[in-house]
Amino acid sequence: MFNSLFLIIFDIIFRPVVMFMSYIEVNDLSFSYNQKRMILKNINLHINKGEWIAILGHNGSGKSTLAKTMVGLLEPSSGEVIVDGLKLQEDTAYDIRKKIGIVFQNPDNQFVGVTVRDDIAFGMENLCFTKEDMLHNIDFYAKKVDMLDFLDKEPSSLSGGQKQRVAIAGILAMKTEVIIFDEATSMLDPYAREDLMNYIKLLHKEGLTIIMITHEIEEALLADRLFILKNGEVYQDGKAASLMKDPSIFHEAFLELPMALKIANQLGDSSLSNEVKGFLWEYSLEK
Amino acid sequence: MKNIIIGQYVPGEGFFYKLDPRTKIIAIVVLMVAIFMLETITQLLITLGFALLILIVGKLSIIRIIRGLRPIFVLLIFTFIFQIAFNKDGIILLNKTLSFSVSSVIGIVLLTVLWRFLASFKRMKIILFFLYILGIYFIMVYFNYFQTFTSFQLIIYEKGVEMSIFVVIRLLIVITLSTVLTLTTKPTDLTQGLEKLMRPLKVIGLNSEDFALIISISLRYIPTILDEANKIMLAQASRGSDISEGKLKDKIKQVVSLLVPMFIIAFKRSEELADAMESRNFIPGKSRTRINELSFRLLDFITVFLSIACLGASILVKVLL
Amino acid sequence: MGIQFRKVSYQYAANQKGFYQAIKDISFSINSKDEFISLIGHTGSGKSTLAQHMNALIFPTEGEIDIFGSLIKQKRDKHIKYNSLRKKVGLVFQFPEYQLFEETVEKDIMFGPLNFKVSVEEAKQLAKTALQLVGLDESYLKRNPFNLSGGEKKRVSIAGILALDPEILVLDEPTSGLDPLGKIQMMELFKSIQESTHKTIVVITHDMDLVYAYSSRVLVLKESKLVFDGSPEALFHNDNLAQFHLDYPSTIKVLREIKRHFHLEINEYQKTSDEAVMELKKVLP
Repeated sequence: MFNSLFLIIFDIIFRPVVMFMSYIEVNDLSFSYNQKRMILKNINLHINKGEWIAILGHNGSGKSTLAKTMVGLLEPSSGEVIVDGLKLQEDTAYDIRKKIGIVFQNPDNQFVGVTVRDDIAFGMENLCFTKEDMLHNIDFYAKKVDMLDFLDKEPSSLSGGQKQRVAIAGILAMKTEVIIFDEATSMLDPYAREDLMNYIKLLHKEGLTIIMITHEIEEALLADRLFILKNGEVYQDGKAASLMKDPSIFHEAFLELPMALKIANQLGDSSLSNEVKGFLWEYSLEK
Repeated sequence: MKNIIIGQYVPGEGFFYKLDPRTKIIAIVVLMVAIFMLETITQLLITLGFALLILIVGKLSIIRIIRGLRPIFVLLIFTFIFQIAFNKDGIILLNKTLSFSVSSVIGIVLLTVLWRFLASFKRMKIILFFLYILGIYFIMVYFNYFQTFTSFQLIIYEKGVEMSIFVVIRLLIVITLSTVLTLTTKPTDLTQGLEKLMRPLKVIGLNSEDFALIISISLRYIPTILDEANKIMLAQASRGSDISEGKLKDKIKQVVSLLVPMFIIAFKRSEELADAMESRNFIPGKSRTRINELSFRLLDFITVFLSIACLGASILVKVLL
Repeated sequence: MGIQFRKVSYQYAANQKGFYQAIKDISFSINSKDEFISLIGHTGSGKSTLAQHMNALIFPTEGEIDIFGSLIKQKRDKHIKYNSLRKKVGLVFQFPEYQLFEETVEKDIMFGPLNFKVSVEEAKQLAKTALQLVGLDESYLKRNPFNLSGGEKKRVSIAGILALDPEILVLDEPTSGLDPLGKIQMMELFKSIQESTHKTIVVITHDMDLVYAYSSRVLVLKESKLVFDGSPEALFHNDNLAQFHLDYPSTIKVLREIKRHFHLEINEYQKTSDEAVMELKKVLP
C-alpha cells in the first residue's frame, strides 16, 4: 500500500516536470493501415523545445508516417501524441497544428496559392488573421526566406528550392514554433539542398524546434540528436556526436555512411590515425 | 519558364481595369439582357457604335478584341449560312441553279488544287478561302457543259440576309462584351467576384467559398499539368508511341498511355495537397479571412447604374416601337 | 556511327519574355559503343533538353544532329522515320510516373516493343529479359506497377526502354530519389550492362561521386552552353570548379581537407572510399 502511495506521489511530482520539459511527447505509438503489417511499433519519443532532432531511417522504416501522426494527419492504432500538454485528438488537432507545421517532400504539391503572396497567406487566412496582420507577416517572413522580390510570382516560375522556402514562410507566418521537414530536400538538387539546410540552421539558431525526417546521414548529423528507426521500431536515440562514432549502428539500420565517416571508420589505431579520425568526425558535424 | 495567359488576361491600365470584378459581371449580364431585347439592325448598329466608343474611351486595343474573335470566326460563318438557308421570307434576292456536271466537277477539282497550292504560302488564308467558295459558285452556275449529273436551286431570300446580319452583329457585340471581361479581369479576381455574388446560394446548400477555392486551385495547377502532359507525351514517344501513326486500336492504347499517368499523378497530388492544406489548418466550410478583399467604389456604382439604365432604355424601346 | 551534334541550339517562346534559350551552339559526338558519359550541369543548364534531342523527341531551332545516319534539322523530313530512331537511342525520363500505365509490369515493359511491331510472344520474352537485366525477378511480371516502391518503379521504367534494345541508353537522373544504397545498385547495373553488351550509356546526374566513380567521359553544361568535354579526371583536377557551378566528389573534398589540415602527402584523386582509405594508409601508420 505504501508502494502505491509512493508511486502516486512520484507520479504527481514528476509528470508535470517531465511534461514541462518535453514539448512534444510520442508515447507508445503504433500504427498500421490494416492489421497485417505494423508500420510503427511502440514508438517513444520526447522532444524538447528548441531541439534539432533528425529522425533517420531507411526507406520504409516508418519515418514519414511518424511525422504525419505528430500533426494528426494519420490516427495512430494505439498510443498517444501530446503537444505542449495537449493530447492530440480530433477536437484538439486544430490547436496542435497551430504549434507544429510541416514542410513536405514535393515542393509542387503543397503550394496552394496562385502567387507566392497568396500561398504564404493561406495558413493565416485559415486561422482568421486580420488583413493588416497578414500583410505585415507576409512581408516579414518572405524577407526572412529571401523571397520578398517574388511575392507576385506564380509557382510555375519558381524552382523547387524557392517553393520550399515559400512553404517555410507560410508556416512561420502562422507563428508556429516547431517545424517538421519531411524529406524536404530529397527532390532538390545539391545546391538547393545546401541552401535549404542553411535556412534550417538559421531557423534553429533563432529558437525554432526542428524535426528533420531524412535518410541522408550527412544532413542528419547537422542536428543535435539522432532518432533512428528500423523497420518501424526505435533503433537508436542519442546525440549525433556519439552515435556517429559507431559505424555498425548505421550499417544495421540499412543506412549508408557519408564519405568522411566511411573513411574514418576504416582507419587504424595509431595516434595520428586517431587524430585524423577526430578531425573527420568534427568535419561531419560541422558541414 | 512556360507561363500561360489563362483566359486571355492581359495586364493594362484604364477604366475597365479599375472596376471591381463583381461590377463587370453584373454589368455584362444586365447589358446582355438589354441587347437581346433589341429587334432591328439599326438598333444593334447604334449599340455596336456605342460599344466601340466605350472601348476607345476605356483605352482597350480594338485590334486585341478582334484577335479574340478569331476562335469563333467559324461559328459566325456557320450562323450566317444557317440563317440564310432557313429563312424563307420576303423577296427573293438570288435564284440560281447550281449543277454538278462533267465540266463543273473537273473545274472544281482544278480550283481545289490551285487553292491548296496557294494556301501553302500561308498568306491571306481567309481571303483565299472566300475566293475559293466564290469560284465554286461561279463554276457550278456557269461552267456546265457535257453531261449534267444533278443540280439544285440556291435561293436566297431578303429576310434570310437580314436575319443573318442581325444575328451576327448581335453575336459580335455579346462576344466583345465577354472578351472585355476576361481581358481585363485576373482569373483569381473573377473567381472571387463570382464567389461573392454567389454567397446567397448558401441558402440552398451551395458553398461558394469552397467552390471558389476549387477554381483557384485548378487555375494554379493548369501550367503544371500542361507541363506534365507534355513530359508524359515525350516519355511515351520515347517508347515508340506515335499518335500520328497506327490503327484505331493502337491509338486508343496511346491515349490510355497518356491518360493513366495523368490521373495517377493527379490522385497523388490531391492526397498530398490535402495533407498540406489540412496541416495548415484548413477546414472546408469554416469561415476564413482574406488578404484580397474586394470593395465597391463610386466608379462601380456608376457603372452598375448606367448598365441598368441601358436595360431600361432597351425595354422602353421595345415597348414603344 | 552514333550521335553527332553540330552547332545545335534550341529556344522556345516564353510568354512575355520573348525567347528562352535552352541550349546554345552545342557540338560533340557520341560513339555508339563503349562510352559511359555523364552529362552534368547546374539546374536549368539545359541537360534534359539536350537529352531529348538525342532521340529526336525535340528538333533543334538551329544546327543539326546526325543520329545513326539520319539528319535531324529544324523541319520534319518526310523521308525520315523518326520513330525508328527511338529504337536506336533509348531515353529514360526522370520520373517513372510519366511512363508507367499498364496493369502489370509485364504489359508495361511490352508496350515499347509492341509499338515497334514485335510479336506478342517475342515482346513477352523481351520483357522477361529486360526485367532480369534490371535486377528484378520473374515474380514482378504480374504485379501492378503502381504498388511498387520508388526504386522498383524506376527499375521497371528502365526495363521498359531496355526492352527496345537500344544501342545508346540515355538516362535522365536515374538515381534521384533513391536512397544511397539504391543509387549504387543502379550505377552498378549500368556498369554491368555496359560491360556485357558494350552499349554506350549517357547518364544525367547531379551526383559527382557517381560521375567520378563510373564515367569515362563528362559533358558539362553551363547556362545552355557546353563548357567541358573530357575525362572526369581532367575535370576534377581543375582548381576552380565553382565557375561551372559544380562541386567536387566527396572523396576529393574529404582527402583535400585531411591533406590541408595534416600536411600529408597524398593523392586526393581517389574514386571510391576504399581507394581513399588505401591512399591514406600509405601515410598513416
